Amino acid sequence: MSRRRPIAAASGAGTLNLVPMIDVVFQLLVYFILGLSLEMDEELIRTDLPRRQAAAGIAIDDEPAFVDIAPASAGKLPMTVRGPISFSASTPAELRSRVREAISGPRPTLAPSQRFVLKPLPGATWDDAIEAFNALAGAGATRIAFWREATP
Amino acid sequence: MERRAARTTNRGFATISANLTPLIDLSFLLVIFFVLVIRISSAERVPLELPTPEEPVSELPDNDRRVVVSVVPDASDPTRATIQAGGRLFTTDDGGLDEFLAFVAAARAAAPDSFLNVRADASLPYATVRPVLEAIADSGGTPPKVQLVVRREGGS
Repeated sequence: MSRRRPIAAASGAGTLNLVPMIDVVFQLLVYFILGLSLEMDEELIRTDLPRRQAAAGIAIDDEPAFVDIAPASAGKLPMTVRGPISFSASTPAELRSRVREAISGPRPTLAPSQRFVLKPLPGATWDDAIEAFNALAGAGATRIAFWREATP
Repeated sequence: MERRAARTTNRGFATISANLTPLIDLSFLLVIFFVLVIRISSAERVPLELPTPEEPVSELPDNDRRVVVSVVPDASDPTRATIQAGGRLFTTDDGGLDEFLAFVAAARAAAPDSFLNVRADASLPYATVRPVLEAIADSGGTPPKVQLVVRREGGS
């Protein structure tokens, strides 16, 4: 004497088992979410660039401060500032401190609109240039540009 | 009476199951979204050792229109570089720089408000990156809106 199987159970035998597919889809989701967040470690420093122009007379009140950047070595980044203020700095932190004092110290000698022109010397790397740019921007300078030779 | 009793018994076999279709739809849409975003971002983000300045004054990128310019050091000679922008490669010799300048000029003419994000390897000599900046500066129109890409301290 055989037992009858319930009708509902028999009809359920034809359904798809979706659980493995959902597992895979969620694994993919986790993978992409993690992969995307790992790439979001880049930031931007805003800048402007000088346009090529013929050499023109520089007004006294608009005399730029040139920052010569020598190649970094032994943890030092020798920089020389020439122009309305003149001094040497051996680290980006020192440059930042000195320029901040000149712009917003008790007795400011430079306006925040003072132009700074970065002049990386032969051998200096892109990293050195960025360090100097970042130090000036952090000191409150708002007009920083890279030096280029004017063409007649 | 007997028929009603039998019907009641059959109802006891009904199973309660969640409708998983909307969940699967949503999950697949999310997967497609992330696949597309990762493909776009990986095309823009050539693997580079970006500068990591101390106490950076950098800002997080926003959704402005941008042209990403990557300056990638050559494997054979780290003082030389290749420019990657808009899915194209440019050399840093005179011919390549002229092509790059034309590319930037065309991109800026098409979208004058777009930013130019410059990504360059930290170890590259500045002299190698300088012609790229000069080509951007010479690309005509209004002064270019350039942003220097750095790596956030503590980033991977």
